This record gives sequence, structure tokens and C-alpha cells, in this order.
Amino acid sequence: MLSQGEVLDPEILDRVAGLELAARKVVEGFVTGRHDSPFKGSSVEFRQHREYTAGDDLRRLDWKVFAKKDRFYVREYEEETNVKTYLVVDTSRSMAYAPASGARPSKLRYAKLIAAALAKLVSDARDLVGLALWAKTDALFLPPKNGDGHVHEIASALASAQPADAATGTDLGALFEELSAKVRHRSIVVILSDLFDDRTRVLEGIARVAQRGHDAVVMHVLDPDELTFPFDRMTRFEALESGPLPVTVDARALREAYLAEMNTFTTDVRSRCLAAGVDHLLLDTSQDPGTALASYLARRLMTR
Amino acid sequence: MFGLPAMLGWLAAAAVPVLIHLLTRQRWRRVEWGAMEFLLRAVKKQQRRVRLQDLLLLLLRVAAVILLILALAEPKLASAGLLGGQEERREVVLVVDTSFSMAFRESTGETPFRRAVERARALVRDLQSARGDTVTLITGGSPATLKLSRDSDINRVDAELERLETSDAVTDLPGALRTVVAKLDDLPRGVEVFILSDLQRVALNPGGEDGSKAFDGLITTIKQKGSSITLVPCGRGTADNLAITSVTMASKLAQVGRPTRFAVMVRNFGTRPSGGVVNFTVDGADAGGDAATIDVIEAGKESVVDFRHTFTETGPHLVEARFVTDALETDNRRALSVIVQNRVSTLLIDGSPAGSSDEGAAYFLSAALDPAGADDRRGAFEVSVSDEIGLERADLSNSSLVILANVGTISPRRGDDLEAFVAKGGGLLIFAGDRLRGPQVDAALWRDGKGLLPGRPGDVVGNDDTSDAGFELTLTSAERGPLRYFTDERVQALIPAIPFRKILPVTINADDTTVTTYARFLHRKQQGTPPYPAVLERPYGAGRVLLVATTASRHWNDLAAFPTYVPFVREMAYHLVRRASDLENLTVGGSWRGEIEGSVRKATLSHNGRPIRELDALAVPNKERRYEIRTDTLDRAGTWRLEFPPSDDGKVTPPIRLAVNVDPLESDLARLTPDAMVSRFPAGTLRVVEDPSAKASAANSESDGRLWWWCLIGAFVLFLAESFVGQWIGKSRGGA
Repeated sequence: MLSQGEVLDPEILDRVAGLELAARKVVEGFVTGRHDSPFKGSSVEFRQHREYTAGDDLRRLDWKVFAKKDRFYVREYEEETNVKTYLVVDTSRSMAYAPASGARPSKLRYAKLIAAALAKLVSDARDLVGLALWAKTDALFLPPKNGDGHVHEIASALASAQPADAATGTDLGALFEELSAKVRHRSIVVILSDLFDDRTRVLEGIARVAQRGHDAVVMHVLDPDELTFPFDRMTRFEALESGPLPVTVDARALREAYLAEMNTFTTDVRSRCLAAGVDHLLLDTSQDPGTALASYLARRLMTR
Repeated sequence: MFGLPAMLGWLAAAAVPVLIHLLTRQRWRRVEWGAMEFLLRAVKKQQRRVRLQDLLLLLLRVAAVILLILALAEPKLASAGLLGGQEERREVVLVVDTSFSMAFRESTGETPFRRAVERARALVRDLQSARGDTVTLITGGSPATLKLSRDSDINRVDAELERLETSDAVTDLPGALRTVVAKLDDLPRGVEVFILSDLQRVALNPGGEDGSKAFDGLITTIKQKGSSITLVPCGRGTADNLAITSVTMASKLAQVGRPTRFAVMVRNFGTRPSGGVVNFTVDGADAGGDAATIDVIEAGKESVVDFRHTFTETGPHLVEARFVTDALETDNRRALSVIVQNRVSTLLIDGSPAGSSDEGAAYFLSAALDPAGADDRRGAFEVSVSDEIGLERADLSNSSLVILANVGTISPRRGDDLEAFVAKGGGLLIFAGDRLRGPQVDAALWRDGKGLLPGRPGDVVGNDDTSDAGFELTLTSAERGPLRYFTDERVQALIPAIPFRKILPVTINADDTTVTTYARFLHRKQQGTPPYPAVLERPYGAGRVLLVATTASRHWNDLAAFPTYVPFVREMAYHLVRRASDLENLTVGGSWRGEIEGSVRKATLSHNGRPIRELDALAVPNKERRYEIRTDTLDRAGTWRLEFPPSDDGKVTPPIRLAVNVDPLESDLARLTPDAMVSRFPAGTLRVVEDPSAKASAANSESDGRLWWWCLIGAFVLFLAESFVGQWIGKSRGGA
């Protein structure tokens, strides 16, 4: 079990706060722009103009007003305040995978770290952040709020989250249906999962979330073992989730075929996400979570 | 075969790769895995290929280990047969000469036969049952016999060879080669024919020039059928041999109380003068003092030794001559079966009695055969005269010889009796006359050529003019017949002078090959007229019939007025009564067949005192109440005896003794040189090999020397291949 301290890893938060150029912009946005949330919405309504101050996004400059008044103004939108971000963490049994050597955290722990960091960042930007822990049904749902107290509550929930039982299985399709029902306003939905479920159903669910106007981000968390299949001798693979029977194989002989299957899977997921306007970020648990997150946020800010 | 067969125990190590494979599959690492969906799909796709690759690797490893261990076990060609040796299945035909000449004991104590068997066995040991090699075994002693046909059980062939022994027969290589030719039709091309023989000249040049051509033709045929022929000469050094080539009775007849003279001929078949001692025995016991020493017989010459013996009992007796100190035992002994009689009981039937006249047949014939009549009890013939009525009433079993002089009245029943009489060994002498024709003669004696008469009497030719000597008697096949006496030029000169006025033309059935014509009548005035048969013989059962186509009296000729009359009649009489005795002297390979008393149903055949088998009496075809005994081929020299159990009425049938001797032709051990034999054929037809297994063994030795090396190379190549294949598979699996 992760302690609250572990989840709110100061180092990660520090690293997120003091990252490369894009990440720094985010932090500065929190300070100077106040509403430059990392998950700023892209389809919000115009509210008013505000005089430009250093640090404002140049893309927001209203060049027509500048032409009339010869002064810089930036556009402000209604939805820029109190954007709701839902962090959905998959707690199915397959997320419990970690190498036997202990060299890396489990996928679930990795997802928890990412989720906590995001919660902190969102909350610091005075936006609302909620949390859903999900396996087959919602184990926990915290409605979006802000404030340190709420972040603390999220961190606590994450710290106490456990992988579901093997028999529970995974039903991400149901999760997306549930989200569609619960989240009525356009929000940002960040999904942290290995997506080991019925692929068609998962991708249709993500697409459905996007179709309802939500800004969905899929953070596809996988262990390097699952991406590179480094086993090289007779190995007995036992399913983390109930269903498939154990299979004993010469792992080396299977590597090529396995990697082809995995590659097809990740490629398919990525292309379907992009087709639905959903961000797809492949996170392998060997990556530094701060670096991976900062890199993504920077890229996201650059493209919005 | 292996030099170090114990190493083969390590072949169990071939199971090590398999065990490792199985153990590896049993030792696995456990991983709890989330992405099972992708794993299971990969397994489904890869499993077949992976299994095949694993199997290939496993086979390479097992084969490499096996080859390595085989190399260490020092394999010999006989068991390996893979490299350097003959890889193809071998079809071998062995012709082993088993004639008695192969039993010649050389100065070293060895015999060509033993050498032949050992060489054949050595050859057979080089064959491999597992490869499907087969052996066809034919013995070359007469008659050539197929012992084994395409037998692939090498052990059985070896045992059969070991069981072989020499026979008492002559070589029958032509027969053996005919068997080979017949077998080749069932065999694929490439058959290896080995002839293991002492290469006797008489065996390789059988039957003179024609026989040699036939023999050579067989060799050529075998060659044309795609087979190789290898001569394996098994005799060594010179083979000098002396043999008893004949034992004959020089006396006309063996009579109780009268000395009987025997001639024993010894021939030196060798290349240098030699001699020895001949022992003479009668009925198995030494006839006291009857031994003769032959000091020297020149090479290629023969010497005759006379012995005399006076028999004291009638019946069959066995005379035997043995030659001492000779290297070939089989032909050092020769026997003769002799039937000893008191006097030849002769029934003389005169069909046209002349009353008190001296001109009748009875008078002349009695005078010739039994001149002293009742006054002489020591004469060979005891003649009893009767007429045609007497013939019907006579008990023929009391007679050994029946003479019919111009008999024209005879019942069919008496014809049957006469047939049975002759069949059991009796002699029948028939003189013609004007009565010897007509329906009765046809029905009783001619019987459409199936009766006793050698030919059918026709109409009498000639006339009664005493001044007209119309016909002249000429001899034709007299060399061995009853007229042999007249082949002497001094006697023969008298014959043309004998006037024959009338004769009885006799027609011989064209398809009857049993009749022999010893003399013919030539028409003195009508040159070019076909000659008429004068003296004819028909063998009938154990006896024989002689027909003289003119009268025994002076009615048709003046023969009786000439001094030749007496020997003419007596020689024919002796000839007839010796027939049964002649039949009981046989050569190895012959058989005996004779009529027996109707009350006898069985006989026991024994050889040199050892019972061989029981024989059943068989009914004579188309003859009532007549039975005969037939023996199989008598394949061993020595004394064979037929004994009959007492009949139901207590009548005892005397035993029959058969003297079976080897053919002296085989005693000539002179050999052809292999070169002379080979030169008779186009190059490459025949090859001569002293030891047929030697070449194969030499090749085997050479190959054996390389075989372990090849195994090692093979193992190395397989290990290398395993390494490459392993790497390739590793790469294909994306591993290091």
C-alpha cells in the first residue's frame, strides 16, 4: 500500500514544477495567467478582453483590437475558470503487474503517482479535479473540487487503492458508460489504464466520451516487460485475471509473435484515439513519471 | 560388428538430449502476467513452427550423440555397411560341388569339400540379413539340388552349409547351372553366382564336345542375365587317384559248386605310376587268401585282377573288391550282386515236334544247351522238352528260361503267365517258324506291341529250295548283346556262309524304343531290299525276350549244321538268364523296380544294414494280380537290401540285394586350370577367386579403418549443424 507521502512525492511534484520549458510555462501560467491550467479547454465561450501582461499566451492576442487601439489585449473565455478534470485510474488486477525483480513499480502504482501529480497541478491551477477508481465497477468516485484539502483527499484515496481481485476482471466499457452518465458538463477526462480489456468496447467507450464534448486523454500505462517481452526460457505465464489457463512456453520462441501482437494493439489504440480526437500517451513504467508527464503537458500546451 | 561393442552401452546417452529437452520443459519460471490475450494469440501462431524447430534440433543432437558413440565403438563394415562397402542388397547363389571327388584327402589332411564349405561360410558371414541379402544354395552333386532359395536368414544358411556332406554321386554342374538359370528368372539382375568346385576336367567338359558346348552355353546365359560368375577352385596340388572301376563276373554263370571267375579292374587316374592291394570278399567275409597286390599301374592305365570263388549256396550273393591305400575312399570299393544257381532250369517247347526225327528244334536246342542230358549233372542248362499242350500245363515258376520254338498255339492266359514270368526276371527265347503267327500269337504274345514279342510276325518270305541261300545274317548292335561272341573276327567270318532260306519278317512298332535289333537278314539277290530284323530283344520287367526270326531247326536254314549254332544258342540263353542279376547292379543315382510275388505287399529297404524306409507294393498297371516294388533314387554307394515279410500263407520271399557303386567317371580327378577355364569365354565372363570372402574382407578392413572416422566426421557435422540451426532458430525467435 502506498502511503500518502509516497503518492504525493515531493520530488515528483518538484520535478513537474521545475521541468523543461513547457512545464515551466504551465507553472508560470498558474502564477500569472491563473487560468492556464494544463487541461485548459479548447471549446469554450468568449467572455471579455483583458490587457496583455507578460507571460500571457501570445496566441490569445486579439490582433483586431490591437489594430483598432494599438494596444495588446488578450481574449478571455467563460470556461476558463473552474474546468473540471476527472482522473480515472484503472485498478483492475492486470494493473498490479510489476517485474519480479522489483526494479520498477507496478503499473497501478505508476498510475497513482501520475494521477496524484495531476491532481495537485490541476488543483494548484484552481480548477476542479475529481477521481474515479475503476475495475469492473466504480470502487470510488470523488466529485471534482479544488483546494489542498481535496487534493489531500484524492491522495489518500489513491494511497489506499488496491488492485481488484483476480475474479473481478475488467470492464472499462462500463466505466465509460458510467462517466458519460455522471459527467454532464464538458470536462477533461484523464484515463490511466493498461486497457487490457475488450479492445473494441474500450475504444468505442473512449470515442463516446470524446463525442460528448469531453476532452479525453488516455494515459496508456504499460510495463516494459509487456512492451519488450524480455523472457528467454521456459516460462509459465499465469493470468493475473481469471479466465485464461496458465500456459508454459519457450518465451524466447514466442517473443517475435508476442511483440507483433502487442505492437498491433498499441498502434490500433493510438490510431483509434487520434481518430476520435483523444490524446494518447504511452507510458512505460521504466520512464521517470515526472519527465514523462512534463513532456506530455508541454506537448499538449504547444498544440492547444 | 564393433571392435568395442561394450561402448554401445553408451548409446543410451542418445536419450540425454531428449531428457534435457523434457527436463527443460519441466523447469520453468512462473510469471503472473496481465497481457495474456496477446500471449495466447502468439502461442497459437507460433506453436507448430516452434515444435518443428525443437524436433529438428532434438534429432540433430540425438543423431550426433549416436554417431559419436558408434565412432568410439570402432564399427566394422559387416554391421555398418554404410560407407566404403557394398551398400546394395546382395543376391548370392552358391553352387557347392558335393560330388565324391570333393572328398579327396590331400597330403595336408584337408579335402576340397571342407575348403569349399568353409569358403562358402566365410562368404555368407559377410552378408547381412538386415540389408536383405539372400542366399540361394545349390548342391552340384548329381542330381543337382536346390537346398535353399533366396534365404535371407544368414544363420540358417550357415547351418545348412555346415550340414552339407559329400555324396557318392558324380558332379552335375550342368544340372546345377540349369537350376541357376531357372532361379535367375525370379531374381533381380546383379546376382553373384559362386561355383565352389575342385574344377574336375570331366565335370567342366561333361559329355564330350557337345556337353562342353551346352555347359559353356549355360555360363553364357547366366552372364547374359546380368549375373557375375565366380569360380572358386577348392582343390590344391595334384590329385592322384586309383579307383576300382569295375567288378564283373567273367564266368558265364554263377553256379553252385563250380568256380566262378571275377575280374576286378583298377585304373590309375593319376599322373604317376602307382599300385596297391586289392582285397576280395564274398558276402562280407574275406574269401580266404583272396587278395592281390598290384605293384605298378602306369599313369592313365588300368590293371585287371582275377579272383575265383566257388559258391556253395544258391541265391543272391554279394562280391566286393576293396582297394587299400588311396586318398579317395569312395571309389576304393566296388560290389557286385550275383545270383547263384544250381543249373538253369529250361523249359523247351517245340511247336512242331518232329517225332523221332533229329531235324527238329527240340533236338538241336537240347543238344546245344544240355548235350549230355540226364547223364551230366554239372551242365549249366537243364532242359525239359514239351509241346504246346505241355506249355499250357507247365509250372513256370520252376524254370529260369523258356524257349518257344515255332509255337503257334498258346492261350491268352498262358500269355499272361509268360509275361509275369519274364517280368520277374525269367528269360524267354522265341524261335520263329511257320506257326508263329496268327490270332493266337497276336492275342497271347504280341498284344498290339504291348506283349512279349518285340515285333509282329508277318508273312514268311523265302523258299524251301535248299540250293537257294536267299538271306545272309549280319550283326548290327552286337557289342554288348547276346551275339557279342560273334564279334570276334574269326567267328564272324563264318556267319555269311550260313544259308538262311526262309525268314519271318517282323514289324516293330515305330514308337517302340525298347526293342534292340542285334542282327538282320540281308537278301542276297535283291540288293537294295531293306534288311529284315533277325535277332531282336525286348526287355520286359526284370527279364527279357529274344526273338530269332528263323527256325531253330533246319527247316528254314542250315544254322544247326554249322559249329556256330551251339554258341549262338548258348550265348543267347546266358544273356537271358543274366538279366535279373544285371539289374541288381546299379550306379549311384539309379533306382530299382521289379515285380514281386502277388502275396507280398510290403518291403523294407535298408542300406549297409541300416533300415531306410518301408516300401509298399504297387499294382502293375493293366495287369491283374501282379505287383511291383519301386525304390527311390539310391543316392549312396554300398549294399541296398529289399526284405519282404512272410506272406499270410507263410511263404517266404527271398531278399533282393542291390549293389550300388559309384560312377568311375568321377574318379578322374584331373583338373582344369582356372586360366584354361576362363579362356573358354569372352573376357569378363568368368572370374576366378581363391577365397571369395578375401576380397570383401580386404575391402571391409579398409573400410573398417575409415568407418569410425566417418562416424566421427558425421557426429562433428551434426553438432555443427545443430549449432547453426540453433542460432538460426534463436535469431528467428528474436533471441540472442
